[in-house]
Amino acid sequence: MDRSIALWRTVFLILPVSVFAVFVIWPLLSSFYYSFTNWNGFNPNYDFVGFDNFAKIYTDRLFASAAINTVIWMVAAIILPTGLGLFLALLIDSRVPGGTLFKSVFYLPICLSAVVVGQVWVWIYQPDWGLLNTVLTYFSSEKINYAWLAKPESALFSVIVAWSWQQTGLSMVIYLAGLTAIPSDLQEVCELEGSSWWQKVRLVLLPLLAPATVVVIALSVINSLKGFDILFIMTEGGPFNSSDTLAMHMYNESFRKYYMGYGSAIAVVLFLVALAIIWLYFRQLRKVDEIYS
Amino acid sequence: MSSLKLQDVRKNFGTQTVIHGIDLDVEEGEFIVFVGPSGCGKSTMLRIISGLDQVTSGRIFIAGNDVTFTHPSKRQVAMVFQSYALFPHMTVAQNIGFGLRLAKLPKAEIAKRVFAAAEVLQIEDLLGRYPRQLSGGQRQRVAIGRAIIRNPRVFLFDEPLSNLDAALRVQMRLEIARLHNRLGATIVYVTHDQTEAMTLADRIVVIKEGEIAQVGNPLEVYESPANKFVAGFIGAPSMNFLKASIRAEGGRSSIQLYGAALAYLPDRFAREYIELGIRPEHLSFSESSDCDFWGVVELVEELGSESFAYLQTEFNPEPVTIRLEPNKKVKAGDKLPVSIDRNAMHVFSESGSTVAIGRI
Amino acid sequence: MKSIAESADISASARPFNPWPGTIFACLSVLALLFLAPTFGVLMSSIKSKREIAFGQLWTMPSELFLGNFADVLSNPAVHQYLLNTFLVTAPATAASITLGVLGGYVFAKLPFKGSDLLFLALVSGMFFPPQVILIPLFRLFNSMGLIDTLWPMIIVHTAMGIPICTLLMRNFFATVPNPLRECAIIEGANEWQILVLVALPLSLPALAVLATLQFTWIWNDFLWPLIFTQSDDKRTIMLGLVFMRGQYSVAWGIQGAMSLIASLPTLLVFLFFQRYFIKGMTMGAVKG
Repeated sequence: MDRSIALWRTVFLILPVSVFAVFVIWPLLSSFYYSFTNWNGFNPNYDFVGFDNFAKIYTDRLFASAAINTVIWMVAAIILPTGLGLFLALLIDSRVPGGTLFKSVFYLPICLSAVVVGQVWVWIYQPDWGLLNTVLTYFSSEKINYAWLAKPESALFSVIVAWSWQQTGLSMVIYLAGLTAIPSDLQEVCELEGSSWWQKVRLVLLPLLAPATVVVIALSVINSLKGFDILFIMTEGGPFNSSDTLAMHMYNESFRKYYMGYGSAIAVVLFLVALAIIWLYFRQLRKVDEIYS
Repeated sequence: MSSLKLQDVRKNFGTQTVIHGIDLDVEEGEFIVFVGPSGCGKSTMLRIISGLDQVTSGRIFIAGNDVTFTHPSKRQVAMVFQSYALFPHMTVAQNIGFGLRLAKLPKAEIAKRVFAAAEVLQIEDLLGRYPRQLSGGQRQRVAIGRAIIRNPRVFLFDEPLSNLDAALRVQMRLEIARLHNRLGATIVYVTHDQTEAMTLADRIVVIKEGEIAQVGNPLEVYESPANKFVAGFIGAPSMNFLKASIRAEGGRSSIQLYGAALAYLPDRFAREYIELGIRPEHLSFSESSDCDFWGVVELVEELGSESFAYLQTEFNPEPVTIRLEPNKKVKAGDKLPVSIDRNAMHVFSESGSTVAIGRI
Repeated sequence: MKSIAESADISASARPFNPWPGTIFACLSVLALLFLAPTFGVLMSSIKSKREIAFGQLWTMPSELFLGNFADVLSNPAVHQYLLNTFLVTAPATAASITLGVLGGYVFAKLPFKGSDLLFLALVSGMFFPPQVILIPLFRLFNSMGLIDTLWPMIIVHTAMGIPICTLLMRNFFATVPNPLRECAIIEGANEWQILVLVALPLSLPALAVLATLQFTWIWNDFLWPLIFTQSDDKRTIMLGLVFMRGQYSVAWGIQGAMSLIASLPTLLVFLFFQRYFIKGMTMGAVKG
């Protein structure tokens, strides 16, 4: 019996584990390997350069600005989609008519591709006839034709707004699921005890939504680390690398400049940052679980 | 002045009517128990009184004020939920003091009143704990603590003991009764457990399908059920119902059970068939064969303090339950003569309403 | 006794007015309009003629329904190739990743062993890493296999990258399949494969639907992997094609809009019909992660 179970385990696991090992784990480890080389992507020969690539990270100004942009993106990701998603979830959860329809509307962008979302927002930000400037002109005395994506000051933030537009629905449904999980009698106690809406949100709902918040923030942060597609479509990291992120920088170094060794080093950094976030995430989740289970 | 008054309260959910016009007056300090099978609308009644649900029509008065459309928090009621509804992220003290905190009372005042409430329930030691660290009975007390700190005109209990195990349930039942004596508060208590209703209530309100089937003190309801539903619902094991017929003889009628005349009714009776209701303790085995009917013992249940036997009879498809006198030993398969206590027969019409009770 | 209608009337008049539902509804409606504006703009642009758009009327209602943009896009053979390629990647990769997830999920839920939690955690954490982390070695690997500029790398990578979410959801779902069912099947003489196929899977159709919608959408919409692994035009997927065709139709906004819509249509349809599963998958994957 035990032996046959062990056999079935092996039979079942061999495919998923080996595919995952060969095409995810092994490349992951290889990234560490290549990060110590100067491979250029074509030449079969390459040299070991020790920690040179990591030393280069220290002096690479573009890396520094990409790292700062990534952090900005993360912070914005925590505030924008999380905050807006929570707000929408609270509104929709208050048994408003048409709740399901609203849910679908806010969730719709999730099923669109980054390419399409990027293109839509390029139109919105377009200086001459973009929606944003059209609306701003309507409220202003003069014609506004600010080039949102072409100005270093606004490029990154404009992309983040577009990205948040897509992500908000995800935060919202996770918060909605969290709200549904709160027993209705706890909300009824608030009503019986005479709590105002704001008191209920602050003293009861937010603390009880802590597990959902951990998940939403973790997802937003992780997804912000992945921030690449939409950036590639909207600004390609420009202008003047003002909207570069680490993921974008890694792509540029590896597949535009063919510094695959250096690109691998950036990938390793990216991996370590992601690892740290995942570790924090699981730790928080466990802590929160202890309180609420 | 009545503490709580319901006037023709009705409630629809969509097109479905769940409460069909309930009138009730509750005296100050009275312990009222709503009892009925699940789905009868008793919990809805409680939610309507608390204001969590609104009436479709009718009026609710608490301490003389019309509160029909008053916000739940302003009705001077407190509710203890079946699930206790304790906030998992708050300590016992914070849970009990939640309402005071919402009302922005000074912290010292809150602490003082929380402690006072905790003392009443003997949970002073638990104030710093979280609900997950408490046993079921302790959670129950905290939930009650959150109710008494509000100093309400009416306490509402929604099946508060149903999540506890049997032993604890008996203990908490006693404590709730004690609490009622000490606080002298008006309590409306909902349960599906007729034993709880009998032991706790000053008056029992038996509810069937959104209507009051009977109101009365526990003994009244037990001894003089208003209809077959109440008779069957109150009391365990349930009352026996036996099909019987009426035969007119001269100027009077007699009740015929399986061909034998049981009793005579004073007047001519306009019915052909009736149902006889007899509680298990009002049946006994006869010493001689001079009896009302014969029954074959199918099963004996010995509960320790008392014993019941289930009898097969030739005239009733359902087994007849009989309470055995102490020391009376019977075994399955015995065929024994049974007598009915003539002073404790309930006669029900086919529609289920009581026609006459007791000696006929 | 008064009639129900009459008494309801009395109640309604006495009931205090609650302004909140109305306010919230209005608030949500405004936000919903804001949220829909971008998508709506594309939709509008796609049914406008070049002339109309040239007059700066991109964001207004079209004066007449113009289907020329769609005709242009749909008659372009390159678009056919893009759509076909995308389908040839999406369908097998979706099926393969779900199959592997089912196999793994069943073991982790019903046949746990010493260290299986750790293995499970390792598999699932793959969900969280930016794909850039494995980009270069995979490029090198497929290059050495001579598979660059074929559809294979995309199928394989999407399958591999789908394993974490598929395993996670299937394990969580299989965990809800009662153990006695499995034990009963064992007593009847079923082996684990038969239990999986005859007992667990038929009960898991909702989970499979969730995964199919999720995986289909993600793979269809992907941009990074085709960008890395394809070079020639006839191997591009639709999302990549969209970007490259943008150059071709640089100022033909109407055509671009129509292209975007056509490219998004499959996922929009999936969303429309399987929205319930989609949302469930997103929250399940997220909350239990």
